[in-house]
Amino acid sequence: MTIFAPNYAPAPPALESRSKRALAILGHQIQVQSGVLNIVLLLFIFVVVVAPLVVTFYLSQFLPSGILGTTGLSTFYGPIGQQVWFILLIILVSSAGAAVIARDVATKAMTMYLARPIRPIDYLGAKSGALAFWVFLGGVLPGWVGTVIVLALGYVSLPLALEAIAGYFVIGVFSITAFTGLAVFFSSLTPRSTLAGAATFGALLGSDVVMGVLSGISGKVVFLYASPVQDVLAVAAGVFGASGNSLNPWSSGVVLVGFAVAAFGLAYVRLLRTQVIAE
Amino acid sequence: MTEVVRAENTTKRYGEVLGLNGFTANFGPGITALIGPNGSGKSTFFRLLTGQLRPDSGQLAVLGRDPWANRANSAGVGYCPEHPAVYGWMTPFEFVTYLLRLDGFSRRAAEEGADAALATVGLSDVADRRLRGFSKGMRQRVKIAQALAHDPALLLLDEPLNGLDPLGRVQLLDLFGRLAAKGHHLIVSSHVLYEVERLTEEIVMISNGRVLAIGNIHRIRDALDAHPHSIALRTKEPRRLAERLTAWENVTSVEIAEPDRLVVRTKAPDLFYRDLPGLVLDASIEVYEMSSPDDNLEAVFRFLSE
Repeated sequence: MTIFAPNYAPAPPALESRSKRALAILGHQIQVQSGVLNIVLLLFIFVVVVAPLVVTFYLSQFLPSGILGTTGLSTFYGPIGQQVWFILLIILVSSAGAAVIARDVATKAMTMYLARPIRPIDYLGAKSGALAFWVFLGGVLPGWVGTVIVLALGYVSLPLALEAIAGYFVIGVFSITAFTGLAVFFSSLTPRSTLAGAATFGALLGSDVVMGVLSGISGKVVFLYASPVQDVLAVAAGVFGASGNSLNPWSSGVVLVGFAVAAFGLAYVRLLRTQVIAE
Repeated sequence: MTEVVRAENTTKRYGEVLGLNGFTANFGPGITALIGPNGSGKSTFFRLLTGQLRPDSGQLAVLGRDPWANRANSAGVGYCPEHPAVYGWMTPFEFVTYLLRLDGFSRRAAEEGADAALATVGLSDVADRRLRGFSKGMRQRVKIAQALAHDPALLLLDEPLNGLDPLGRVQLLDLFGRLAAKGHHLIVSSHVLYEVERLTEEIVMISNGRVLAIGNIHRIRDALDAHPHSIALRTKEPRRLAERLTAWENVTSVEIAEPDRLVVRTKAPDLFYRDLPGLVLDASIEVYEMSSPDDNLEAVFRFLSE
């Protein structure tokens, strides 16, 4: 009989799941995007959303209803309807999304991802998720915070506050998907982050201006559907029951989803081709 | 199966450009060098081996499995790309830890792995410094650390010695040797031929996406009988030595390259090396240096490429 000495070796580490690997990318990307510019932009967005909400509901307690109009669900549309919020959100999307893919192409770091058990779709999903997080912070959270504050101050009832929170969530879902999709698409087009950021900013704000002019000249509101900003406004007006928006909120919602699907699809195709071009 | 990597008639096109063109080679255990000039298809081959690209035709097997659409295969493969591919705002520790997490390691296991890998490449002392301040050679070490951190069976190193200082080269060559001794398999690409000569004798030479030569460098060299072998001699009397050597049957040419240097070409190097000492003694000609430029891979590569 032969006796062999046991050979003890450290067991190989149990590898984590595909979703956890993607989450590692997402966490890293959020960290990378936490620069001073994005934080400052976020603070401004909070100010321009929360302050009008609180001030409007506060003043409504003292002023006659004729001056501010009737406060209710439509009052929550106020901060969204103002251009400042949109411009700041677009700058935030452009800033946070510019380098999301472009930098990995420029530094060739993408090869480090794709040589690992990371699929291109995981990579794209995680990078988009990180950007979506920032759009959530600028597009949904301020509305929620403002609502909670006016609820805590006793200016609105709980059911109304819950309606408002749900409304901001719906608007956030549409704006997050469309804005994130466009930013990711432009970032996949070029290794130059600055160019990608400028393209995102130009596409979002430029389309609003151009379609507004075309609509004004032709008298046809259908042109406005080509502006993601106007589509988000239409959805917001529909959700909060605000008047004055000529677009159909359902149609605008469909257009925004279409924008997002097309942008993510093109970004994915582009991502697959980027490897070849980078060669 | 003894081969670690097997490529059979593998072709990869980028539109009209051929990255690999019917590439057929087996890469055995230990260290194999992939030699070729820039643009010859080395990086394309590595990207195919890591599953980043799909071959248009032909077969590829890495550790017995098709690398394409087989992400699990990457657990056994470590890849050090040629390009910088590092994030300057991260420290080496953060960078290697992050990439290990992408390999599927838990945070704790990743941090332990990063520590060990950075120690292996001699970067423990600077593990907490930002990568943007690193020299090219130090970044190269970081890339090697991330390639070997998950203890893969096969290491694919694309131009790993590029940009390293002489001491760094020696240290890394030593590291590659130790990794091979531990049972790792390495495929090391280079276009600097003398580096590879020190690393291994097993080579695959590639040019324009095709295999030019494969096997042991000395055996390849021996097979090149038709190619005259060059030998350089340094002497104070080059003219007198040249006169004697031109009389030899196996010497095809003698050239006075410099005032004190002769380059002799012969088709029978063995006979030349055997007879030269006798001639030097008989004629009392002092030869104070003898070297054979043909012993380096560059000459072989040039000859094969012609």
